[in-house]
Amino acid sequence: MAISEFFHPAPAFFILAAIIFFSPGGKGLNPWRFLLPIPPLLAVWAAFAQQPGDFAHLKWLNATLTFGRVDSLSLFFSQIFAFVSLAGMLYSMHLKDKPQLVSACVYVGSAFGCVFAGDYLTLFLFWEIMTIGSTLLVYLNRSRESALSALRYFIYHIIGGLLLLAGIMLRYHDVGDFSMIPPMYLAENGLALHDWLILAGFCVNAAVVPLHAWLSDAYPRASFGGIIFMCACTTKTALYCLARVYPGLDVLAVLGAVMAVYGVLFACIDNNARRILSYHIVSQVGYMVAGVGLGTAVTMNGAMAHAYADSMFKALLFMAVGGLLHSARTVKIDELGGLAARLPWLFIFYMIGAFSISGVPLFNGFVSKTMTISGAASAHATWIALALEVAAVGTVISVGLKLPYFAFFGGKPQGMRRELNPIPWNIYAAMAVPAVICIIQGVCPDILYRYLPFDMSAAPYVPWTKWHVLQMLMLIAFSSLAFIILRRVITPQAGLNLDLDYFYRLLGTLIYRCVSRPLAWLDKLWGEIYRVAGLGLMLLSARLCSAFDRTAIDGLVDGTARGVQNIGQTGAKLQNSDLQRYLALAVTLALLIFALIWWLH
Amino acid sequence: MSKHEYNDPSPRKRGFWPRLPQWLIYSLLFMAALVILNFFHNTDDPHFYYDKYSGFWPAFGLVTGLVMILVMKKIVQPLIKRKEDFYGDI
Repeated sequence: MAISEFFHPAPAFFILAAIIFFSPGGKGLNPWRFLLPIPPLLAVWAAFAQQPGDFAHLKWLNATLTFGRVDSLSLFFSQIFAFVSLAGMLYSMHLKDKPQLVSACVYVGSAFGCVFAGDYLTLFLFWEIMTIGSTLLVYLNRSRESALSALRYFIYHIIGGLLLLAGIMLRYHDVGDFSMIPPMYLAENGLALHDWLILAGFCVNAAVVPLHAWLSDAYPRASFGGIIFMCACTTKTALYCLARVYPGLDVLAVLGAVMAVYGVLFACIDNNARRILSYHIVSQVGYMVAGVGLGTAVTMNGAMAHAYADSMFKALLFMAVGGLLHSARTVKIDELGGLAARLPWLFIFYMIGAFSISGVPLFNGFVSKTMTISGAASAHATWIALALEVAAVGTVISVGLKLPYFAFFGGKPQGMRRELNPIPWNIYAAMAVPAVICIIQGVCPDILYRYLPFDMSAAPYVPWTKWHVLQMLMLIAFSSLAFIILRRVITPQAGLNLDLDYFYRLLGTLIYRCVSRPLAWLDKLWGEIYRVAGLGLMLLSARLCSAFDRTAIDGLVDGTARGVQNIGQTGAKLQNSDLQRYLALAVTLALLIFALIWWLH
Repeated sequence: MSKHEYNDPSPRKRGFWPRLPQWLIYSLLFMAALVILNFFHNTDDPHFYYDKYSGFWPAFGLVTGLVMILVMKKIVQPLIKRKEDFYGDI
């Protein structure tokens, strides 16, 4: 059923947020938990039924805000977000944490807002709401660690948002509108300052290396349910914007290749399962950024297909690791082990995700990742294609083998005897959603390809060829052999691996000192001035006041007092019942009055 | 699979060939089959020059994997590894 009118999914999420916010909280399970899947289901329906068009305009000041730019690109991303939010809401149904769910609704709703935004102002509005929602989702893990991480996340994204805003305003000054379209001169003169600023704003959210370290800092510490929404929405929204505004920008192709390799290298040596997956967000988004940067129809579509596939398998992997966190109360893989037999369904769902991300044939990573790589190779971007192949090897080793091997097999004796919490049914139901999509898209790529937004009828990509299957299997099998040979070397160790956030913190500390040191100096100087000059002046003025008080005020007051006293004494002297004095006084007064009258007359 | 199966400590069972667990034997056979297949069927459209030779992708996967693990674990990690509470925010 097609709908000709526009249905924006965001209000549905905002209404749900309001319902949860105002509903009475209790100790038992809350009745509103059954409402959670409704907005995502509406969004799924809208993503399939919506007709392209331009809807929902609002005049504000001198600008027209467009809330409903519906085309194949925005519908494609809304479909991704709809399925991820459906899985995330199912996953969160057992939670009693109202603020977490309210934040999740606001966050996902604003992600839809960004995707359907037709101009930069609308985009910026939802962009900032997303920042607030995601900060809360990190903060609501309710530990000191996550609170500090949320603060860093917020500062970082506010800076990113300011870059975007500065770019938008400068662009308005130069171009005269807020239209969100590729710069006309992209191919000719390069980018203007405002384009670079907008690009930097997008790159912060897309976790482009070297601006990526917020992701590996905040995501492993994010709340239980929040991470499922966050692993898809923030980076994919930024990717949508890059695909919309900067397709074919060369620098993105290089940065994307760097991201893809950098992410897997760090994933190879990390110990925290959530951080390993976070580095894989950087790596997989690298494929997409590279695809967008190369800008041919195949690589653009490869990037979009991989965005869809990655959102599904990454959500699945994060849900499986979240299941581990719920059940075993830790995600540090050096402490885990031997859980495959004790949590078989969790293991199976994890492996579906791991096969998908590794690009095993029959899973959706195979039909999306190979598309970007072979698109890059066909576009003669040989080094970029090679870097993406290296990243594919690293992906197999870190997520496909290392994480499940050390978490689900072998392990330490205390890990095998560990007491496990039972996993609620809704977590399994939630994992089934992306798992089914991963397999369906892998087996029948057309189900994914038919929604791809860019026309590639000139050079269609066929994933299921004998060579593609053989090449992928060889790459995966021999990467696995490398892992088998060196599995004692790659054994995870507890500890923290420094990333570029070391420099962010250094920069932050420097800025803090640059502000606080001069202020402290100024404060000290002011204290000295006050002590020397101010205090002396004050003492002097106090002395003057005191003198004035004693001479002028007291003199006046005392004089008045003395006057009253003297009059009283005179009056008392007069009234001494001496008749002669009374008569003399009366005569004197009478004479004076007569003299006065005479003189006046 | 367990440590016990893979590294059998009893010396009298140890021959010239190490005793491998069954899953590894099947995996190695599968890999060998893939390489053999590669000699019959190779890409028609090489992009990286060396990929016109059969056996490029197995070698690429193996060498990249080995170098990646060794460099990251033996060189990079010792340089950047710190204790868990290095930043003092846990």
